[in-house]
Amino acid sequence: MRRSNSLAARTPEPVLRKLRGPAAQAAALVAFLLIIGLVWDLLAAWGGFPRLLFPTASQILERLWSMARTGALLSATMPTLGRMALGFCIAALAGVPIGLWMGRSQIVEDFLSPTIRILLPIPSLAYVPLFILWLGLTLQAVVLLIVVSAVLPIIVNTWTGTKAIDRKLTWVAQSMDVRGVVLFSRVFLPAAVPSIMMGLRQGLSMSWRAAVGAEFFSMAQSGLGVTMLEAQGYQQTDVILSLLIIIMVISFALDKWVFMQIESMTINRWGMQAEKSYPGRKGRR
Amino acid sequence: MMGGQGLPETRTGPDPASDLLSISRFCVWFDGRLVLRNINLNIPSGQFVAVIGPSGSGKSTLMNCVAGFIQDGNHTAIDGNISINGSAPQSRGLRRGVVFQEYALFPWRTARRNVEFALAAAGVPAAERKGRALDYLKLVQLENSGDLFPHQMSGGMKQRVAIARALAFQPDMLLMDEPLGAIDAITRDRLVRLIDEVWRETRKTVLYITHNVSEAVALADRVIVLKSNPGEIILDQQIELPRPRDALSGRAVELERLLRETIPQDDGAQEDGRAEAR
Repeated sequence: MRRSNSLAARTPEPVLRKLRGPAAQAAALVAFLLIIGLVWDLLAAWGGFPRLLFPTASQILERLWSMARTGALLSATMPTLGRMALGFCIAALAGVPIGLWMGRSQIVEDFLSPTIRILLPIPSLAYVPLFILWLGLTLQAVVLLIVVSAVLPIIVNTWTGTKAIDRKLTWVAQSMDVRGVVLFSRVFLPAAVPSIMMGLRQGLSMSWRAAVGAEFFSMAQSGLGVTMLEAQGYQQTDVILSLLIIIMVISFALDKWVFMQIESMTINRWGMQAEKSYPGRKGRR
Repeated sequence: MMGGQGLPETRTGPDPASDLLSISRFCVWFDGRLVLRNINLNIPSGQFVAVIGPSGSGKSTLMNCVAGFIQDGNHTAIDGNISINGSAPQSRGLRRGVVFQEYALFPWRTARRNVEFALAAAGVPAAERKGRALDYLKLVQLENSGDLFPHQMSGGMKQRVAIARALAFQPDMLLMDEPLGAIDAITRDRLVRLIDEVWRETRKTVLYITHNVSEAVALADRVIVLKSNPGEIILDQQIELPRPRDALSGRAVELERLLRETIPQDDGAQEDGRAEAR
């Protein structure tokens, strides 16, 4: 007893390891936001910046609240979200089948993979001038930009994931004379779900970036980016910062909230977690 | 000798009429390297045959060829003949069940739904599958674990589900590739007894690949010993012991010693064997 006590005293319990679970994470987030707000207000008060360009945290929150009340926030957010949803759906509907096809057919893979390798590192905003010339400042141009940004991560993840499917799962089905469509829908598709999910997750994040980014090139007439550009014209720094907060919250919610719901229903339940991006959640029973 | 009767153990020479599996002058090369040389093996229906040998003896390759997983191709050359009920291993409509060391359960399906996959493949109507699946799970003593997903089960449980799934397809032949290779020693003894019980109940033809001599002596009617580099049959030994078997009986110990003495030591061929197992 005594010995174990002295041992425990010599090796202090790591504090950080206790910061787990949703409650602790929420508390940490609140504390973090409070600290950020405090530092911000200190800078705003004593930094010597003009108040117009550097509003206090309470001014920003006030502006956010009034925009929410008047509906300005919603009417700025919905067009951007709508365009993103449209582009993402098209990208998913095209990307998942292409990825599956590449994973299943050597010919298709040989044919498409060089193109994809070349296109993958290009920042999608580099297509903006081209798409504006082709399609003008239209919804089609924005959606095309979103599709192009989102479709590549979806294809690549689905493709590599489908290729990595355990050959013995296919063999088991093959030994039972299961082939063709049934083999595909009952074995390949579910086995590829973890990588498809990872692709969709990255694709959604990319389409959100493209949807917001496109608006700064005047490719749309309404939306978060458009409202921010207008606020820039009127030197409404508090509006810009409010919308930045909204963009941050939506990015976070799309990734963590939407996909964690789907994942807990599928691959977590099946124990098929393919990625290791949740520190502290893996390897614990 | 009463060839053609229902007592396969008493038969000696090959008899194409009643042999379920017939392998003749079979050779396999991987990238030009000879892996299996001149394999001749005839297995009558209902016989439990164990194949043992050191790493690099091509025993898994042999099973994969019988299962139709390995074909003539870019990196693989095949010569000779395998016939199952008179058909080639790749032909459709053959009823084979496979069990792998790595279980190969579908992780998105529960134990029961894994078995139902095989029932669906065997053409069992949807309404009957659930009840039949539970029957098969009961056969491997897992009737209460049907709703568990593979990741919630121990290795021994997973392998029992895999065996139930293979049997649920109602195969003519069961192909098992080191099914207990990843199982701890205590569970392994239990599973050997279970496999023996299940076999006595179903009397399937079994090709059982293993590197464990005791498993072979405990389960098989007949043990084929392969040597490595290249794989070749060096012994074809009948095991005529009453079941259930007592591993410590004089005759069992004697057979085990005979087999151990026959199996060549790994002569630095382990690396080759690993590469080949893929």
